[in-house]
Amino acid sequence: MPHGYSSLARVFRPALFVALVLSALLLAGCFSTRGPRKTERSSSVVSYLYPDQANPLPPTSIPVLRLPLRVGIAFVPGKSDISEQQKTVLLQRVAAEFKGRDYIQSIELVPSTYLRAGGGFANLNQVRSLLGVDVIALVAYDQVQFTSNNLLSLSYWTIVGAYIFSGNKNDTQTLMEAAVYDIASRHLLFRAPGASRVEAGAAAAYVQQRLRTDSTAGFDAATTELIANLKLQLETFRERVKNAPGEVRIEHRPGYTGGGSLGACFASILGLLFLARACACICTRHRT
Amino acid sequence: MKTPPAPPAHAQAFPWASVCLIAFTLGVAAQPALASTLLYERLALLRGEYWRLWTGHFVHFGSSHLFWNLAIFTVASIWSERLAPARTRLLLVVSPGLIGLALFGLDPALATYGGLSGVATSMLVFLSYTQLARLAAPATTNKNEPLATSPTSDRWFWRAVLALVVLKIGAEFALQQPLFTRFAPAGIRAVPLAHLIGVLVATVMHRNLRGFRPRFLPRRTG
Repeated sequence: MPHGYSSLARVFRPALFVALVLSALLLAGCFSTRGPRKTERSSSVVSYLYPDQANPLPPTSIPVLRLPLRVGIAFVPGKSDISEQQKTVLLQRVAAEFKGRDYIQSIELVPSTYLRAGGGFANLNQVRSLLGVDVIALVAYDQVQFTSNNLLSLSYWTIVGAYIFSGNKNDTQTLMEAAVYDIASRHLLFRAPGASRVEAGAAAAYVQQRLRTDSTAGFDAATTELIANLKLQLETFRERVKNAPGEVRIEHRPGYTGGGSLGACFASILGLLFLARACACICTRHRT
Repeated sequence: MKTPPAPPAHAQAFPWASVCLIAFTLGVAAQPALASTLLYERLALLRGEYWRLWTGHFVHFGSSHLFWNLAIFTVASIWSERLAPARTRLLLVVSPGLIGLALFGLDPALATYGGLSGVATSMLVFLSYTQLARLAAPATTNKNEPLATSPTSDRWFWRAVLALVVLKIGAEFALQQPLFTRFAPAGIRAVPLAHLIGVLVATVMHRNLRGFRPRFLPRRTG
C-alpha cells in the first residue's frame, strides 16, 4: 500500500466516522425526536348554519313534510378537508341504506362545490332550488390522529430499523354526525352520531401512509355506526310524528300512492260478529 | 217416473271464479316483478295500459296488506259464489274494473293504487244483501238462481256487517285516515273511495240483477 494513501486514510477515517454518526443522528432525529404529534380535521354544522350568530333564534313555524320526501345529503364544509372522492363514497353508503323506502322519493348527493363555508340557510335554500330537495342531511365530522413513539423507535437509530420496526403508535378517533333539517322551516328533525377508534402501529418510514389508511378506516367505521343510528333515529322520529302530530305536519304530494286495506282490526270485529252469530245459532237449535 | 229433487244450489256451485282470483292474487304476490305491470298507475293508464284498472286490485304493498284483504275476500267471495254463483261471478268480473274506473275519474291525484279491499268490500256487502234477501223473502227466490235457505234468523248479523262497513267508510272519509288499519310502508294512504264504490257496485248488482243468469247457461228446473 503506498505511503501517501495510508496517511490520507488516517486523516479522513475519524472525519468519516463523525460524518456517519452525525447523519445517523440526523436521520434518527427525523424519525424519532418530534415527540407526539396531532392531526385534526373537522367540520361543524353550527358554524355552517349560524356562522356569525352566538344565540341563533329557534325556528317558529311547524315543519311540513310532503311525502314522499326528496332528500339531499352533504358533508358540511370544514377545515383540513377530506377528499371529494372519499366523501362521495361515504355519502353513497348512507344513501344506499335509505333508498327504496316508500316515503323517500329520491336521495341526492350534494357535492361540496354546492356548499360554501358559513353559507347557512341561505346556501341551503340555493341547494333546495337547484336540486329540488326538501330535507337535507348535513354530515359533520371531527377526526383527530395522534402519533407517538414506543420503545421500538430506538431501532430508528440504525436507519434500517425505521423501515422495519413499528416504533410509531397511531391513534385515530373519528366522530361523525348527521343532522337532518327541513330546509323550509329550518327545523332540526333528528340527528344521529357515529364514532370509531382505530389504533395501529407503523414504522417511521410509513407513518404518513398508515395515518391516511387509518383515517379512511376511521371514517368507514364511523359511517357504519352512523347508518345504524340514523335508522334508529328515523324510526323514533316516525313514532314521534305519529304520537305528536302537532310537532310535524305530514302532507302528501299530488300524485300520492293509495292502497285499499281492510286491516286486522276490521277482520277481528267481523270475526267477533261471526262468533256471536255462531253462538246465537247454537242457542236457537238447543231451544228448538 | 218421478225425478229426484234437485240438490240445493249451494251444494252445486263450486266457487271457481273466487278460487281463480285468489290464486291470481297469490301469484302476483309471489312474483313481485309482475307488480310494475299490473299496478294501477295513472300515468300508465293515460298511456293506454287500461288493464291496470282491473289488475291493480290484485297487487299489494306488503304481506299484512295482502293477508287481511285476502282473508276477508276469500270468505266473502266463496260464500257469496256458493249462494248466488252467477251474480257473484259477474260482480267479480265487473267490480274491479268499475272501482278502478271510478278512482281514475274521481281521484286524479291518485298516482298509484293497489289492494283488494275495494273488491272485498263489494263482495262482503253483496253477501250481506244476498243473505238478507234469503231471510226476508224466501218466496221471491228466483227460479233461475235458487238460493239456499238459511237455518236460523240471523238478520241482525248481516245488518251489523253492513253497518260496520258503512261506519268504516264514513269514518275514513271524515278523519282522512285509515280507521282500522295502518300501512306498514309509510307514505301510502288509504283510499275510502274504493270501498264506497265497492259498496255502490254491490248495491246496484243486488237491486237490478236479481234474476240475472247468463243466456248460455241452461235454465234450472224445480
